[in-house]
Amino acid sequence: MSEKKEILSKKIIRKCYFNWMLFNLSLYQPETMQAPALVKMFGDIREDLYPNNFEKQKELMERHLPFFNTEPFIGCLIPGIALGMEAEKASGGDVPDMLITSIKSALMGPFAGVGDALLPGTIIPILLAIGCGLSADGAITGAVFYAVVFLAIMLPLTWYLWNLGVNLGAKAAELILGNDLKDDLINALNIVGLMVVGCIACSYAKLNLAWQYVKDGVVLVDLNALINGIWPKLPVFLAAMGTYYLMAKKNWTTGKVILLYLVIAIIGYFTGVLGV
Amino acid sequence: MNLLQAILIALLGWLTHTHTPFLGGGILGWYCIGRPLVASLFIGLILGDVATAMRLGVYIQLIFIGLVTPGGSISPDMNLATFIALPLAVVSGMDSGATVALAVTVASLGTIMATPCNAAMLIPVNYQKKLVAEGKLQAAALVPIWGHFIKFCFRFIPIFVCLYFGQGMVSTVVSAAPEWLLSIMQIFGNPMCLVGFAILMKLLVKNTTDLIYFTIGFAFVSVLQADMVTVLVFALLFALIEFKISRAKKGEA
Repeated sequence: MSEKKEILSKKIIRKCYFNWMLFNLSLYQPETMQAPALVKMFGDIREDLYPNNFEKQKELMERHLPFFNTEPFIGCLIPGIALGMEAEKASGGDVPDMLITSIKSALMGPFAGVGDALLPGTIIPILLAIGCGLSADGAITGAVFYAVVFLAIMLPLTWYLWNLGVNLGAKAAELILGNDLKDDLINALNIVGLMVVGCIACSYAKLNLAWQYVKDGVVLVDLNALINGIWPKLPVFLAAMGTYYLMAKKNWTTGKVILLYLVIAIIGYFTGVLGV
Repeated sequence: MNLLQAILIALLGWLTHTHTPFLGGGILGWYCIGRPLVASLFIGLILGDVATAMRLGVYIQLIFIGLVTPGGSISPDMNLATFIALPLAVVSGMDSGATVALAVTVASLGTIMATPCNAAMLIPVNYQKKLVAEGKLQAAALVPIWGHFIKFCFRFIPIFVCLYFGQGMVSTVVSAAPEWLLSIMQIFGNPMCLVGFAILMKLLVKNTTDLIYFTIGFAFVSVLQADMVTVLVFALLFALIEFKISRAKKGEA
């Protein structure tokens, strides 16, 4: 353990962190996905791990050529773990090649799941929804709010996860995946997300019923006033529920729903039911 | 939009794509500046009309608010939609409905490029493998830097061409379009953000009863005319209660 620390100076850990954060998807393709970034990361520190030992350096890079894919930012824990293990191996620890590969493969699926649920599934949409609310009238407040808060959360979080992986190895993954606090936190945040989405759905989506029953120049029935009298913006609410139903319960693709919107818009306009 | 503006926007579009390492990678590029909400600010600055760009950009952001791009799947191209549709909408004076309609079209057309782009990326990856096998380790470590420029062709060129050569056409279409077409575009585009919300709700809703939270948020605005911050405060309150209950349950177990 102490030898591993000697090899891994703070500078190397930082260098690898930036290397991964910047290049994780740079050569992304369906065959090996994020693996080229790991090859680059270890290639850049090969002299630090195995000074003047060409064969070992080559083996090191070859180990990371095969397929690797996870959510790169919450999942940055995994390259962190790999870095810690490689350093331990380089300092003479008994770390079989297979162990490094199998830990990487075992963790990438779960972290892709957790990462996608937490980052683009929770944190980002909630912050974006708030930001969109703040920028509704063309003000830049929302954009600045989103950028500042997002970076203030993500930079410390990824740096923390990275170091956790480097220092604790596979135990770090257990700590994150086996922690039920995280699940409770995500569930609670989902409530914030849903309420904020309900709020911006009401503020932004527009659906106007234009149909009126006119007799002798007098409007007898105004559908829009009638429906909105029951509950304000009821048509938008029903459209939101309908869209959710089709996509979540009937598994309609985005394209199909958008085509349906187009058909409804055309029919609605020409029959006079829908208006701008 | 002059030549310099088109080049700057196309460059920014490439730099903030999900795979580009040169503008802070995914955290700063893709997830921060690349979000339509933040990108609108920069596009607005380049075009000299921040207020219009922000106002329309928010509508593009809302369609893509629930965008999750899991590895291997082909998702609607938010990057092209933002950097092609928004500048064109700003310079040709579109309304929010037409902007959304254009963005959705660009996003779906953009997915055509995904497969050829993936195929082209195999070239540098296989070259990197070959370099490692041959023992050219330094060269292999450098491949992710220059190999990425293949993606440049799939980002910069389409954005630039659509902006610089498409703006005249789009402006002509917008100013010559008949009344009925503009109305349909608006009716079509106005509720479009609900599609983005549905994708997001699919992720957030664990039980169907969770939809009550969506309804509460909706009612706060529709019935009580509350603003965003008020809704947020109440949302945090509900979240706190839920969090405490589920922690308490686990404490007993």
